[in-house]
Amino acid sequence: MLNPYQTQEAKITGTEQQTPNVKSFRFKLKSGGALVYNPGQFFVFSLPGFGESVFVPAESLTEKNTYDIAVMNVGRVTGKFHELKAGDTFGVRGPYGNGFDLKKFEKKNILLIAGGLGLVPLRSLLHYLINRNLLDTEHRQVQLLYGCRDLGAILFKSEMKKLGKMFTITMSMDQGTDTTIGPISCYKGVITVLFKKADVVKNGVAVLCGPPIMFKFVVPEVQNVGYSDESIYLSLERRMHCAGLGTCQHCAIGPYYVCKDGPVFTYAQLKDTVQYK
Amino acid sequence: MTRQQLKKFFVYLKKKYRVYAPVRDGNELYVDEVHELEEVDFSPQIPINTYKHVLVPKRDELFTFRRGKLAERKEPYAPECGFLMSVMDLKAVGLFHQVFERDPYYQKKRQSNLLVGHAFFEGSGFSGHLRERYEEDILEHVIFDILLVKSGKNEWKVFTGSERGQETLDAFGFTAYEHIEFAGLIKEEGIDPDLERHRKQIVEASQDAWLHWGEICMACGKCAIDCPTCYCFNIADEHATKEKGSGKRVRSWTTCFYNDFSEIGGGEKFLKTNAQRIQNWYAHKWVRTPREFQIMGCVNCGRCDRVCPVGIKRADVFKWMDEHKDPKYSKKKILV
Repeated sequence: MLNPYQTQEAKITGTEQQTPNVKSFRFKLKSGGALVYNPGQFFVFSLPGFGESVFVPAESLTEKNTYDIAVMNVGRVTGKFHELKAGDTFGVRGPYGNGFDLKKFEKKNILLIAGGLGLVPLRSLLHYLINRNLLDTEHRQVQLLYGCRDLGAILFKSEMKKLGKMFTITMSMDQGTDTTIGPISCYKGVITVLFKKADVVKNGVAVLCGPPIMFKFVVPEVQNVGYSDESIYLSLERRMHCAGLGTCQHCAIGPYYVCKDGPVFTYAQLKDTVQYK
Repeated sequence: MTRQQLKKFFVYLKKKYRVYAPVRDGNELYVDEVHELEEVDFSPQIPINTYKHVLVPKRDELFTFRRGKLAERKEPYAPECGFLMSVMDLKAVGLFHQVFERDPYYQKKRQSNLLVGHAFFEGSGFSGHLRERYEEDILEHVIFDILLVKSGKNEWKVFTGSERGQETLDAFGFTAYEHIEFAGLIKEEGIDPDLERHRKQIVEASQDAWLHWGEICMACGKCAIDCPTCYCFNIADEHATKEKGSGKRVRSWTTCFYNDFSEIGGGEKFLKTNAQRIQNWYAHKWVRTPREFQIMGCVNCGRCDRVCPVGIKRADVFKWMDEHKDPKYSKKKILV
C-alpha cells in the first residue's frame, strides 16, 4: 500500500528574501520530474526534525520543472525553512485538495483579489494559465486587486511590475500614500478601498485569497459589483496534519474538510457554513 | 462455547496477543490489559474508556529521521486483542475502517490484531449491548473477527466475521461456530432515518443555540477521548536525545476541544470559543461523517453523556437545537 505520508525529495536552487519575514524558495524535484497538479491545489512540505507545513507552489515562468514557494516565518517549520539555502533539500508530498475548476473560468473575465500572503495561490493560478497560453487577455479582462501592509510587504515586486503590463493590477496599502509602482496604481487604505478607486472587472469569476477578515469585508463588495455567490471562489487556509486525507479533523469547517473538499470553495458553498470566516 | 472452553481459549489468545478487556473498578468498567479470564467483567455495562487504541495507537511512530532523511517505520505492531467489545464498539470499528482505508499504518495495525466482540442473546432477539432495536442481521453489518453471544448462564454461541477469526478458532480446536459474511455498514433497508433527522437538527440550529452549550462546556475533551468514533490526531517530529538531528515523526491522539487545535502559523484560530468547538464536535458526528460515509459518526454508546463533568447530554443538546432553530429554515428548506 502506498504511504500517503511518504515524501519525495526536492532541492532548493535559489532563494529570495521577499519581505523581512517572507522568503521564497525556488526548487526542483530531485527526480527531475514535474509536480503534477491543478492550480489551487497544495502540497505538504517536510523538514524532518521540524515537521510539515502546507504551501502552494507556483510553476516558474521561465524554467521547466522548476517551482517556488513563499514562506512566512511564523513558526517552527517555517522558521527552519528561512535558514535553508540553495543546495539544501526538503520533502514534498501531494498534491492535495480540489484546486480551481478551470472549465468554469473559460472565456470569462477573471477578478483576482489577494490579501498579503494570499497572493501566493493566485500567483500559482496566473503562472499556470500563462505557461499554457490560457490567460487570454485579448479576449477577456483579467484584474488583480492586491492588498498589503506597506511598500516593503509587496511580494514578488519585480514580477508584479511585469504582470502589470499584461493585465491590470491595482494595489492597496494599509500604510503610506497613493503612489504608482511601474504600471501598478497603489492606493492608501485597506483592500476594500479599491472598489471605490479602481474600475473593477465585472461579469466573470472572482477568486479571493487572504486572511479571514478580508473575506468578511470583501465578499459583500464583490457581490455589490454583480458577482453571484456561485461565481465567487475562496481559497482557504487551515491547520492541517494529515493534510489532504480528510482524517485528522484540524481543517474541518461545517460539513467540509478544507484539505479534501477545498481549499477552493464557492461562496455559495460556504455562506451558510459557520467558522469559514 | 462453555466457560471452561472460553477459559482455555483465553489462555490460547494470551500466548499471541496482549489482551484488553472490561475490568471492574468500583461502579464502572474500564478497558485495561488483562492476564487472566477471571479479571474480565462480562456484564452488559459499557466500559468508560474504549478499545480504539487497539486500532489507532495513542502514540504511533510513522517514520524515523536521521540527518534530514525520513525512513518508514519497519517494526511490526505488537499483536493486540480487543476482548468482549460491545456491538457499539464494533460499529465504531466499521467507521474507523472507512476513515483509515488509505492509511497504511492503520491497515498494518489491523492485520496484527484480533477483535472479539460480545453480545447478549435472549430468545429471538438481542438485548443488552445490542438494545431492543437490533435484530440478528446486525451481525452482517459490524466488523469483528470473533463474536461471543451469550446464550446461557455460562454459555456462548460463537460467530466468526473474518478469515482470521475462523483460523484462530480452528487452530485453537473449536469448530462449532457460525460464519457471518460482512455485508457492509449500511443495512438493507437503507440509511438510518435518525441520521437525517439529527443532521437537520445540527445544521438548522441558530448560532445562539450553540452559545448556550459553549457557556456550559469546559472543552476538557473527555467526551472525545472516551468516544469510540473520535480519532482527531496530530503529527509532529520528536527529537531523540542521544543523537542530534535524529528522531521520530509521531502521530498522537488529540481532541478538537483543545485550544490550539485549529491554530495556524501566526496564531489565527478558527475554533476560538467553546461554543464553536462543541458545535464542531456535533458537526463531525452528525454532518461530516454522514456526508462522507452515509453512516452516523455516533454509535450511541453513551460514554460522552456519562463522562461529561458538567453533565452535557446528547439528548438535551438535540432537544435544545430543535427548540432554537435559525428562523431562516422553514420546514421545507434543508441546508447542505
